[in-house]
Amino acid sequence: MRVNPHYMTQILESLAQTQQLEETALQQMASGRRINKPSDDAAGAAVLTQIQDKTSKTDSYLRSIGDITGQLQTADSTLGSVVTALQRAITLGVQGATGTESDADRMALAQEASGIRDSLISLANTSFEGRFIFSGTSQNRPYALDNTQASGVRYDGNSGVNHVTIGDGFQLQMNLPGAQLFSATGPGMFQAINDLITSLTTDTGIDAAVTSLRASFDHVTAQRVFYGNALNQIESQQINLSNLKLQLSQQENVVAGADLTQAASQLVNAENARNAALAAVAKVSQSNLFDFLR
Amino acid sequence: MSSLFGTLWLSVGAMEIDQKVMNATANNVANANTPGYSRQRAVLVEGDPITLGRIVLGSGVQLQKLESVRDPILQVRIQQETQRQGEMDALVTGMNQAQVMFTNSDGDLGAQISTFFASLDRLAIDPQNLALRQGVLTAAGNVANSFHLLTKNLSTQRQNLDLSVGQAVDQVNELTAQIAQLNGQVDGLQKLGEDASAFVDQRDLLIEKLSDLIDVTSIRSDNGISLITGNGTALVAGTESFALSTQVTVAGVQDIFAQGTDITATIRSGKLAGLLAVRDQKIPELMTSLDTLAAGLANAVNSAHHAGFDLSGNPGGDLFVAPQASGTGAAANLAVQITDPALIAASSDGSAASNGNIGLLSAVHDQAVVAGRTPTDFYSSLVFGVGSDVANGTAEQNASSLIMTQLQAQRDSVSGVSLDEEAANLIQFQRAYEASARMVATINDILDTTINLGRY
Repeated sequence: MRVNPHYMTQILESLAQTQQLEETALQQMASGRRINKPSDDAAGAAVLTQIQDKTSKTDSYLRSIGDITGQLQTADSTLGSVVTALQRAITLGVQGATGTESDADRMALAQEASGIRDSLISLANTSFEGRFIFSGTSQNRPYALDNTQASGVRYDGNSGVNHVTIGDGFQLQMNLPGAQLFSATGPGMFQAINDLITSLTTDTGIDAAVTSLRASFDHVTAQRVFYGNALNQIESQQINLSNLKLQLSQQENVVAGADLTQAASQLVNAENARNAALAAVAKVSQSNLFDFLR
Repeated sequence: MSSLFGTLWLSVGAMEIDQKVMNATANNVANANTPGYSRQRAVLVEGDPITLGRIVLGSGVQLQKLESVRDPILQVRIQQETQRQGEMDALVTGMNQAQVMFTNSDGDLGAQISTFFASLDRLAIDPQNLALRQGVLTAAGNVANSFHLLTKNLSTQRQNLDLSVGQAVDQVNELTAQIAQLNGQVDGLQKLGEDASAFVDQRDLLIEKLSDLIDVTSIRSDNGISLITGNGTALVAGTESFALSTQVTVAGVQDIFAQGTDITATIRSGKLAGLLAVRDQKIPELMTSLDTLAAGLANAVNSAHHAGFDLSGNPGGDLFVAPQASGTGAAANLAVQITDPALIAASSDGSAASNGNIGLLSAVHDQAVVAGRTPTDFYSSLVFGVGSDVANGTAEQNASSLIMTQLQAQRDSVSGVSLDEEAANLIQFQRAYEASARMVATINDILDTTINLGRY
């Protein structure tokens, strides 16, 4: 059988192939990634796109959690102060209702209750980073003094609530409107404290005012659980999301990361193959029959 | 004939023939590296014998012809493989350029879409914040820019491919004209009974080059080779060649015409087929997909935006400029409708600090709003499509190049010049020439003897 005398072209072809392998291995080692363009692994590149989107979402959720934590904590501690203030008011009422206090003493108690009322209004108007946290979805200061109202204050907020997305399909309620917190039971907190002041001054109906205050106290305490829950939820969600982020980055590494050991050994193999082919060319192609005809 | 002079001329004839054979060997050696050259082989036959009574005498050697050693079937296979290779080369080169735009990165379209939705989540925390509102508009603008960049690059690439199509057609015309001319030369020489192998080799080479550009089938006829393409359009018939022409169509690209007929769709392989596949199928498909994505996204975001209220409590308008109902050009024309950040409809109840509508807007991220898939899923399937096109094309390209190497090796093992073989031939015929010369010298001596017969 006649053999192909032009073996050089075939050797060139295989040299080009080993060179291609070398380049791929080098690129993988340099970038640390197995997928440097979609055709390296089309399915992998598609998965990578989704992983990147999920990572972006997770980052976004985590940032939202970071941003609302302060607001939720502020609301929670503000309600704590409200509860303490109400406790003190109840104590004042109980003290005033014993019937052993002199008029002057009850006046002093009424004075203190009036101070508590002012601080309650101020607490209900608490803002966080310039936003009132108990005004519903309104941007108005929630409570303003208004003597035409029986409670002495006017609610300028609304009953809207905002939600923040902190997970796929996980919408967390961010706020409770002031109306729901402070005026939802009986006469409402401000009415109750107003009644206390009036009753201490006039020494009539102190018990009724204290009962109203107790109801408000119970209500605010119950409502405060909302913020506690929310803080618990974002805390556990934060852990979940951090785990998810870790998983995503592991997945990304599995899908797109280069196996450096493999790449390195591929590089060495390709180099060896290339050197061997080159050495063979150098040895073989030097002579033909013409050289021996003298 | 069995005279001394007869024997003398027999030997002289053999010397002439040995010389011709050595000439062929020299020609083979000279063309050892000429592309497309097929080695020549001398076909020697015994001279017609002469019968004298009961004795049959040989009349020496005759050189019947110098023939080029070639395998026509192999040649056809090589032409076919060249066509496939030309097509895959053009396809892979074209798609490789396209896939760069879809490489996963922090700034690709997928990332921009994710960033847009993240900017909405950001706004949910503080819906009145004008800086965050502006952030949403900027992110929306970046999404639009990404779409613009992709469509612009794709259409630029399409224009470049169109230029290549024009160049390839020019090359085809040049080659067919040369082939037709060679047909005439081969035909002329063969009619005179002369050796036309040099022209045949050249013609084979040109047909191979032509095969790289367009699919051709060669048909041997009385007056040389006819070449037809695609649906049977003649490119070369005998000494006549038929030039292809191009004409710009309504789509703004050139269609290929052969004798007045549009053959663009019938070109099945070769570089032209690859170029046309990328220009007329792959890139338009990608652009349509981008339009679908842009329209789906913009419409869904707009309709969610309509449900809300802006900072002043007015109902939300379009966030993106509403794309055409057909979706055509949606990617290229995508733009943000509103410039005033206060106009973003974040509120669901009309109060300024409400973020109720942002949930609705960012929910679009996970809704099947683009051809039954979420925007991210749709985009990732787009990336998959481009990647697998290139990967499959490259695989086919590699296979084809392997086959091509083997076919060429096979052809070379038939037609290639082996220097060892030529050296052996050279010695063989040199020796034969020397032997015949010795014969002439010997007969000369004998004739000398004969002439001087009886002198002494």
